[in-house]
Amino acid sequence: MALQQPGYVVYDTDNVGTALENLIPGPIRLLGSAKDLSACALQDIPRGHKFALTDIHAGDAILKYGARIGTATVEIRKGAHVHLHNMSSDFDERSGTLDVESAVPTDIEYRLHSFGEDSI
Amino acid sequence: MNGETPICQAFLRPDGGKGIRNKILIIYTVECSKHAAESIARYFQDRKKDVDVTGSLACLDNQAVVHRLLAFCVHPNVGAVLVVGHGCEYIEAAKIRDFAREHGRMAESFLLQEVGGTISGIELGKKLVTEMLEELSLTPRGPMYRHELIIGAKCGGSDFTSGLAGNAVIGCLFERHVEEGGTAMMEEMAEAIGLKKHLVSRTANEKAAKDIAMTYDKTVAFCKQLGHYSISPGNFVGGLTTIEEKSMGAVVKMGNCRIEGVLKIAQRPSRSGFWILDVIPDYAVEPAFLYGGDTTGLLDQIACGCHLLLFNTGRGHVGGTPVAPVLKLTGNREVYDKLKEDIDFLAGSVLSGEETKEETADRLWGLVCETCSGRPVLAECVGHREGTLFFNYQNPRQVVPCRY
Repeated sequence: MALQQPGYVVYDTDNVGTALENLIPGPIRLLGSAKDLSACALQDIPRGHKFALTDIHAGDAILKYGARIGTATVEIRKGAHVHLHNMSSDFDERSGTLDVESAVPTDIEYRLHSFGEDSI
Repeated sequence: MNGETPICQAFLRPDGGKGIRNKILIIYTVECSKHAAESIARYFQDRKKDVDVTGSLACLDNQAVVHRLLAFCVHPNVGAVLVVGHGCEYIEAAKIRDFAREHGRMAESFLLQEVGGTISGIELGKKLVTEMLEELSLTPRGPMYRHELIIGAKCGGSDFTSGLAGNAVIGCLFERHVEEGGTAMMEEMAEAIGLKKHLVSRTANEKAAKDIAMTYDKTVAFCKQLGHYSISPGNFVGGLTTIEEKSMGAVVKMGNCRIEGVLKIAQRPSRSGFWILDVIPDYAVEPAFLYGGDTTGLLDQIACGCHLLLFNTGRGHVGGTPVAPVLKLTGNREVYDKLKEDIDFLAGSVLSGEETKEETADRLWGLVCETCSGRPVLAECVGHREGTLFFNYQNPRQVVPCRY
C-alpha cells in the first residue's frame, strides 16, 4: 500500500520536516530520524517543502540537518508550512524579497525608459 | 518633410519603429540555455537567414542586463523574438517574451526543463523560428527619412590616425546628420579625460551641462578606483602616449554638435540631436563589471536605439554585433589594405590631402544609406556577432552622483 502523506526528518534535533509528496491537512507519516515524533499538516504543504515539527517562536532558529538554516520571522504553529513567508536566511537579504510562491524577484523591472520620463 | 528623399525602404513595426534589418533575435537567459539557443540560431545562419543570438550568461540577474535584453527585443531592426530559458535562473524568459509582444513583436519562449531538454528544445526552437521567418517575410515596408535614423559611433583599436582622420570624418557626418534633423550618439566618457570644460561648453541646455559634469566626475573617479584608464597596448604601439591624447582624438567624433543630454544604458533619446551615453556604473565598481571591451559600448548604444553603428579603428578591428550592423572605417591606409575582409571604408584621404573631411563624410554617408537599404556590412558578411553582456549598476532614468 502506498505511503500516505509521507514526511522526512533528517536529524532528531530538527524542528522542521520535509514533505516527500504534496501533503493535505491531516496526519503525516514521518520517516527518517523521526523516532517518536508525530505530525499533522495544518494546511497544504507542497512536495519538497518544510513543515514545523513543533511550535516555533518568532526569532527562533529553524533547525534542519541538526544545523541552523535560518530564523523564524513570525510565530509558527506545529504542522504549518515553513518557507519564505515565515522564515528567512540570516545572511541573504534579497531572498526575503522574492515572491513567496513563485520565487520570482520583485526588485527587477521589466520595462524601459525614454529620456525625460520620470525625471524631477 | 516635403520633397525629402527617403534614405531607404524600412521594415515597419507595429509600434511605429522603422528598421533597416528584419531580424529574429534568440535570447538565452542563462549560460545553461546558451548551447540550445546558439544551435537554433546557427541552423538558420547556415541557411543565410538573419537570425541573431545574445543573452545573459549569469544565473544571477542584473537590471542593466535585463534592460538591454528588453531594448533589443523592441529594437526597430528586430521583428521577432525567441527566448530560450533553462528553468531555475533569475532572469524570467516569459516576462521578456511578454514585453516583446506588448510592443508588437512576434515572440515565443520556452524552458528547457519543461520541454524535455536540449534536443527537444532545439527542435522546438527550429520549428518556432521557421514559422516566424514565414510571418516576417510579410513585414510591410515604408519610406524612412533621415530624421528617423539613429546612428551611434565608437572608436576601437585607435592609433594616431583615429583623431586625425576617421573620427574627424564621423564628426563631419554627425554635424550634417543632426542639422538635417537626425539623431546621433556616442559614449566613451572614459575617453574624454581632461576635457570636462570642453564638453560642458558644448552642451545645448543647462540640464545637459549639469549631467555631463556629473558624469565626467564619476568617470574619472571610476578610472581612479579601478586603477585603469581606457587605453590599451595597441593604442600605445600605434603612437598614442596618454589617455588625454587619446581623449582629444576621441571627442573629435562629435564634430561641432551640441550635446542634447546624457543617456543611461537602454534609455531612448526622446528628441533628435546629438547625445552622449554614459555606460559607467553609478554605484559599484565590482564585482563582475568588466567594461573595457569595445563590444560593450556598441551593445549599449544599440540598446538606446541606434539603427547602425560607425566604428572607427586605427589598428584594425574585426568586430560586429547582433541587432544592428557595425560599419567599420579606418584612416590608416596600410591597415585598410591588410584587412579588406573586415573594414568597410577608408577615411585616409583626409591625411594625404586628396579629399577634405567633408567630401569623405559625404562618401561615408552614401555607404550608410546603402547599408540602410540592405547592403550587408563586412561584419555581417563574415558572421561577427559579439554579444556578451556584462553586469552594470546604474540608475536607469537619470544621471546621479556616483557612490564610490
